[in-house]
Amino acid sequence: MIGLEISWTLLVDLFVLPMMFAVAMFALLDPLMGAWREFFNAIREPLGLPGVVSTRVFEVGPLGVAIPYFTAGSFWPEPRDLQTGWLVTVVLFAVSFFLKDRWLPFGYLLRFLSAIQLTAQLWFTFAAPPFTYDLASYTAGLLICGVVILVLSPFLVAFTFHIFDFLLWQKVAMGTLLLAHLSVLLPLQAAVHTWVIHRASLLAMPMLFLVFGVLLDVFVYVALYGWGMSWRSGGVLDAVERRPPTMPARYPEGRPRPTPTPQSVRAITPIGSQIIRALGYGSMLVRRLGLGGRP
Amino acid sequence: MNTLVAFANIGLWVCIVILAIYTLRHYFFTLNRLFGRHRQPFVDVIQADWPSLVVFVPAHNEERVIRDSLDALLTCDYPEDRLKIVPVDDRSTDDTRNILKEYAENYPGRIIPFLRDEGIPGKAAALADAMALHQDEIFLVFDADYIPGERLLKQLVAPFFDAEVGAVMGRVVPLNVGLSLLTRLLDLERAGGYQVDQQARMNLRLVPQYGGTVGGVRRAALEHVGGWNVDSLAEDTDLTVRLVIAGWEVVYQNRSECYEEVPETWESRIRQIKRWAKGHNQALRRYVAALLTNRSRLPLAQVLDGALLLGVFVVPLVLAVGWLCTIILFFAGYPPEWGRFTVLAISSFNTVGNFAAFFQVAAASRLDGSRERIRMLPFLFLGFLVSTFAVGRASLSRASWLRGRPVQWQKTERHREGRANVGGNGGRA
Repeated sequence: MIGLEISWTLLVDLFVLPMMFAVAMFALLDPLMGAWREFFNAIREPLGLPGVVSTRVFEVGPLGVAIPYFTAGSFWPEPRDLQTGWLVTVVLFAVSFFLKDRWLPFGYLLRFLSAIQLTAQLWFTFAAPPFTYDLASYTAGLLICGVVILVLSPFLVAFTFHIFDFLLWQKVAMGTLLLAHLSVLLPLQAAVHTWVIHRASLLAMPMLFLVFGVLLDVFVYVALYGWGMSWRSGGVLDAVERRPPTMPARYPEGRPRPTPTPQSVRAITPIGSQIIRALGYGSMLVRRLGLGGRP
Repeated sequence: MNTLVAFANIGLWVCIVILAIYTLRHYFFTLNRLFGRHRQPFVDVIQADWPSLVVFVPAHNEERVIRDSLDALLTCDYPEDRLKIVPVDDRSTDDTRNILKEYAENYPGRIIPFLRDEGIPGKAAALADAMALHQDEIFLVFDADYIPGERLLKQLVAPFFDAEVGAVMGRVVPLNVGLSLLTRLLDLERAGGYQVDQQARMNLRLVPQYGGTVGGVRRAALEHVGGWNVDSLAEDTDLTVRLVIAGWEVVYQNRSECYEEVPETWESRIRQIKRWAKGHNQALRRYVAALLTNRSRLPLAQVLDGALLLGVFVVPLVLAVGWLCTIILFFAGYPPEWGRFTVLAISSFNTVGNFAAFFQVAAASRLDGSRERIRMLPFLFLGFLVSTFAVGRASLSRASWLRGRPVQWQKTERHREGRANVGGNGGRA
């Protein structure tokens, strides 16, 4: 059965390569944070976000990373916001029941989203201000989490992708692609979260945190990983080409159908075939022993 | 409020630990399948003194598929004088019974239908009644939509040359893969479950599961553990655990592939997974204590793997509770640290059913040489979502946990082109 072998190069790919990526990423964090800061400064006014772009220092042992974030605030939802929220929740929930057949999973997705939003609706209907989080600290927290994911994701790539027989450049490409993608995605994600919560009140924060935060980042990784795993490596695992059938279910073409037992045999008894076979063996034995005589 | 927060915090930790155990287990299995030594006992034996064999094909309203299955079985290379094919018809209301009579007439002595109109309904009860009439050494069971390859019977019987083997399971490969998003996702899930998960458990001498569809059992082993549990909702899991507890080995043959028709509609899939969940949870309730207290006879690894196998359909509930605790902690002002939240997020990309994690599915597809379809990986999230709702509802139902519930035929809808009205030999040349 096909499989892989443990080799020194594999161990290097598994431990040294991600370490190099992590160190390189850590070294590049300062210029990357500078780029994020420039990006935030550039889009702050067009997005209509008040305040400034500030920085929060995230300490990793003796080292620190200055992570930029928006200082824009948000507000406790007003009755009109709550009413809109209830309407959206009910519409999402109701629409989910009209999505059937092949759209059914999207119906379940809508139900999941409406359940999450329902918790926010109930909280902001019955609780009193202030909310536990302000928008600025939420955004900073989101980006700090993103930076941690950035530094540690090479190890996730190593333990799920480098274990296969891909070429070195493919392994490097996968790690680079993921880091490049996250480097662009994370500030965009933070900007969208900030803008939505600033405009739509704190009512939007639970949904964004729970569904469109880390879960989205993992989704991105799984999608990239799926693409990378479909690359042709030229290694052992590409040697097999067991193509599972993709035609609609039916009896496999080219396979012979069985031949029914002859009517003459069926007419004798249900065990007729066994008797006929026994007679056949008997006549063969007679011929072998030369007892049959010749005409 | 503080009490609620404390409970949510502890609850989330418990959920994270359980989810992490399952995720690591799948990772370990993936590594074993990729790098380990594989066990395939006697799979290449083609000449032997083959034991007498009965192939049972339980059927309930299977007019669309039963012909293909019987035709395929008739062309298998198992010695004819040692093979009997017994389609077990249990109260079919369509044309299944007439088809079986037609086959019995066309293949006398080879196809011996067992027609059933009374007694407890359900697959386990039907099999118990049918098997009681046969004294052959080995019993194989195929679902009516399965199309075995020519060598499959010998491959599945060969492991029984080892006297300690009580049951054998082959690999299930979907036949109708390219029809919809669902069938493609199920193909990925089946690949992960069989190519990696089952084979790794076989390699590690843990608890490969006898799946009840492409496999068989030694009659002596079946009698030793008391036969089929007729009130079982998942007779395959039930039998697997009883065999393991009694000291029999269950073997998985990865190269023994058999084609099946996977559900083509989400409604059908939901019904299927709810049935699995109820049956699995029933087996969990019945046997987990016996398994855990049987430490003196079984290796610890086998005991732990058996317990984790039984708990597979509780995991979606654990994940749901984990999300609930996260929501509570978020609103209470104690959002879970990124580490715990990341584990929760990653766990959300584990599919239910054969419960293969996304990297396990990717590894399996790669081993199968089907690279392109791995790009469907992120869509597993949709399948997971539907499964979680379905398993959650099934796990909370009474049938999952209570003893002695009446069982009935709960079958998966067939979509194959109907040939039921074609006369004679099915219109074939």
